Amino acid sequence: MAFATKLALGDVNADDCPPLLEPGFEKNLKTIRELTAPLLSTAETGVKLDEEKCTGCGNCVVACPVDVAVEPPTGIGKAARGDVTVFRIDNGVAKIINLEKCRRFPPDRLNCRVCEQYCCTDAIEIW
Amino acid sequence: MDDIVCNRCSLLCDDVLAQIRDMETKSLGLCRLGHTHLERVAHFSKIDAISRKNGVENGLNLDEALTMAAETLISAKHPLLYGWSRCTNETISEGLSLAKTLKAVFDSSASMGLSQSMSHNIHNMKLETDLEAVQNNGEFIIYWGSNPVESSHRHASRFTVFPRGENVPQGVESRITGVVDVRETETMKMGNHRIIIPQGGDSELARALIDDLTGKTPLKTPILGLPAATLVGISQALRKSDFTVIFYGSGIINSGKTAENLSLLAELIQTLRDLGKNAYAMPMWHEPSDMSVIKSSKKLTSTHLAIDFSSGKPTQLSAKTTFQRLTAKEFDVVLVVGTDAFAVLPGQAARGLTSSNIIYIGSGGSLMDQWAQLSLRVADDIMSASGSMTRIDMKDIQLKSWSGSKMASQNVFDVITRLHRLIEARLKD
Ligand code: SF4
Ligand code: SF4
Ligand code: SF4
Repeated sequence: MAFATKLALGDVNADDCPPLLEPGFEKNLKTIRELTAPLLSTAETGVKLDEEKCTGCGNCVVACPVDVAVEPPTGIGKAARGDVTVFRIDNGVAKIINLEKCRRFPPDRLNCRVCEQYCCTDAIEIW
Repeated sequence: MDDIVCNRCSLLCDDVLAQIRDMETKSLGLCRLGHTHLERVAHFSKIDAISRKNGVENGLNLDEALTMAAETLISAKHPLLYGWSRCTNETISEGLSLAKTLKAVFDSSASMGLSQSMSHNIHNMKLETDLEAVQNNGEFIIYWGSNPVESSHRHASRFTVFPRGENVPQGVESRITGVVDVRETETMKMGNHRIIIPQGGDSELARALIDDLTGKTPLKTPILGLPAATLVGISQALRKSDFTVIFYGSGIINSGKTAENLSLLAELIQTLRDLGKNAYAMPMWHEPSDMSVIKSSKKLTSTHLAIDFSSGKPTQLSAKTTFQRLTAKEFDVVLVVGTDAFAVLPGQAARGLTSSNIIYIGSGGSLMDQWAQLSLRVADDIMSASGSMTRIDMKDIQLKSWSGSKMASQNVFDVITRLHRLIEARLKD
């Protein structure tokens, strides 16, 4: 994954980039720190799913980085079949079965919105 | 829960689970369409037959119904065997063989567009790739006139946009997605390139991209009202991608300019190949058995279109299409198998069908089931789950028998086979 993508997802921060720490880049480092500061923590958050809008497409299941980590077959497009993922398609619609694992919550507190971004029917809402 | 194969759309998802207990249907992984379908057919798995005459309904056992169906079909002057949606490959082969015995016309919903596109030269371009290859390699995924969010819900998550693959290890982050359509669609939400073109503008767009890629006419001015920068973006993405797949849908297939559009897409693919890239096109078509009909028909004739057995030999239905002949009320008896024909046929043809003597073999509860002069209700193949079906990429998927299969004593294949044997025996006598 490109460093910029990791930065945007909050997986790394500006100080993880060695060239930025070299002399002459102080201004760039400051700017990037300021830009990414809001991404590094999400104090109050939630993920809401409107089952009426959901088609059970599974985009959220496959795109959620937590799902892929805890049930790897979802990463290659397979349906979530266990009870460890954040999302699972039950009876034709997505259910959030482990909200506490979402990376927006402690300990990660990352500003991930991947599921919301790729839900084509706008069934997922994050705040 | 048991492993099942969903037969609701042409993706034939085989990674899903289901269970039926105390009349309650549960599933894991099935999309809304698949689950609703399973729920509906789960309660119609008991065999039952009904004959209707002058508004009076009579319950029949299977033997009586088969005898009545055989007599009606044997006495038909111009029989049509129509439907075959959600049928297994084995049922379709038996249906073709029955059509030959009866010297009937055999047709399906595939002839409403998919057959024409599969007959086009574009499919002589070594386009054979499968959805797993797309999952493992697809770098640039283009939905052109197709809208998987509407009809093939899991297309993007299982195979194209989201899954990780051997050469696309980060899934959606390793891929680029383009969506071309005549209106804003929900699929566009996952597109990096969203191109809305005027109706009928497909070939002009393809031509502009080809001319830019070959260097003949670099994109510098707006085309179809789209800024040159937007088009340059998609052209550059094509140039960059080592593995591009265009999923063309009804916007191309039913555009009224099918041949022209497909020729241009073929040229675009060839242009990319000439640049040393892998490039493919695949149809997006949700009817689950149409590819199976096409594959089975191709074994008998060089055509993918409706087959006329009236001369004793399989030939492409000529002069008039099935729809025209239905509209002209030319078929006296129509055997409809596994399809709610009233729901899929165009209005005029559906109206014409009502003047035929209709025998229906399929799941209960459909319009066809409620209208046919003879209706043989059988379990849907998602329940009986024996045999195989052909996925949209021509790959055969074996159905998986599951605990629900015990509720399905007979399936379409058994009934068609018994009907055929009975007709053969009667014709011999
Ligand atoms: S916000 Fe990110 S981690 Fe949380 S559920 Fe959505 S995709 Fe998963
Ligand atoms: S991405 Fe949206 S529509 Fe698709 S399964 Fe998830 S919540 Fe439902
Ligand atoms: S995408 Fe198609 S085959 Fe897969 S579960 Fe949905 S309806 Fe069934």
